Amino acid sequence: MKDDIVPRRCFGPEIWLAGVAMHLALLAGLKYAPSAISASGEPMEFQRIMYFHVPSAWVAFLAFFVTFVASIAVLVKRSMWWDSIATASAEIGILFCTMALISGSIWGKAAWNLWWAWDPRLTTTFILWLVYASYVILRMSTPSGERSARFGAVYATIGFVSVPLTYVSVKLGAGMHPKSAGLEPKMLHALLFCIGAFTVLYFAFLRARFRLEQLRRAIQ
Amino acid sequence: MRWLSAVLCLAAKDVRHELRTREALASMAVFSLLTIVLFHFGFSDLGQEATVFAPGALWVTFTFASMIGLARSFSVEEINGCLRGLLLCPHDRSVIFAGKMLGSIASVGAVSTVALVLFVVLFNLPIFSMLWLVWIVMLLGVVGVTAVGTVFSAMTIGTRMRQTLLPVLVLPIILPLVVFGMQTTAKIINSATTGSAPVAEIAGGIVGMLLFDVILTTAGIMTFEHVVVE
Repeated sequence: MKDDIVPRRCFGPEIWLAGVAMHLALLAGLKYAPSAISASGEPMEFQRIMYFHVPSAWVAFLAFFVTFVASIAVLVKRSMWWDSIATASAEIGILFCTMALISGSIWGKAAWNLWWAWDPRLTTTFILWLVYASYVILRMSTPSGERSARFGAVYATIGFVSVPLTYVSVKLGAGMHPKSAGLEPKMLHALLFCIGAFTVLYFAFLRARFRLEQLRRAIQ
Repeated sequence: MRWLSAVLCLAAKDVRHELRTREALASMAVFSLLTIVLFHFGFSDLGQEATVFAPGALWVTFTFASMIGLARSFSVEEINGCLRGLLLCPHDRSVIFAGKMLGSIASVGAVSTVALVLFVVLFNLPIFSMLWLVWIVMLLGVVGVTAVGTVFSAMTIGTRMRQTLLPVLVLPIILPLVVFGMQTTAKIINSATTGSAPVAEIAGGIVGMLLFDVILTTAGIMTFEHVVVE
């Protein structure tokens, strides 16, 4: 892979796909999926936040995983191309992780009457957010270049390794986060569609941010 | 053998340097004392039971104090190009990592030990019989924190924000270890005060921390060579 390759356009065809898919995702989550029914038989419209929350969390994890893989590639191949991928993906991951945390918090207020609970999944996601926020701060404060790429790669690798450890260490308390079991087929369709739409959106963002990073590198 | 003697030589150099200047030791010790005072006014002065907040306070004190020592670990090597000299040594990079880590374990471990004793005395914690166990758990924490801290200390001297960045980088990574350490310490203190020891749980905590230490140290050794390439 050539290091200094710059995509010609900011957005590729996937942005159109993402645009259409995100609109359809809105319809899927708000219209197609039936209302969730509470144990007492009342509809719980707030449950629809799931179609936004779960895909956001999924994209956040995907983005951080991409950063991890790209970081290993940086360390092995000393490739700046992969570094642009890692930087771009980490920032997008933070964006989606923030959205997942905020949407989860709004849902929590409706469902648990709590803005936040120190549940293992919530805590791990929060710490994941902190790890990658530190990653971005590290990248901001290192003069860009080969050394910055190495530092970032080392941090992203160690950071990713620490995530399962965090999950184990906080899991000792009982979790209250809902599990995915028992979704109606239509709800599952809508959810899977939203996850797909968000994933396409992630790749559209990744290309745009990657191009920006490559351009920045090119003019330096 | 050659690897080990080089590591010990580097660690001994750091310990000697620290004993002569006493810069990091003094600031870590005073910082720990100040934290203890703050915890007194923040918790025990407000009526909180010392046995309840002690595990958290102990680990917060030791974690933040260790940041001071770790920040100095590599910044002292910058003077007169010492780091370049180290890198020119005909040794593997892992020697520098292990030597530096061992040196930090010595200084951070010493300060933590003093802080632990002061903690027990100043808050009248009735845990003398279990003190050795708390000490072991704390040392396991020191190993993990210095493993991560050594890599990031070498990293931060190459950034614009310098050592200010170190806690920001280290704390999210060592969080699981600190959480585990707090939980295990709480169990030990609890068993010392109530008299019933959940041996299996405490042993599980110690094994878990050992595992974390192995993982973090391995990650440190594997990534350190990428940090000090020049």
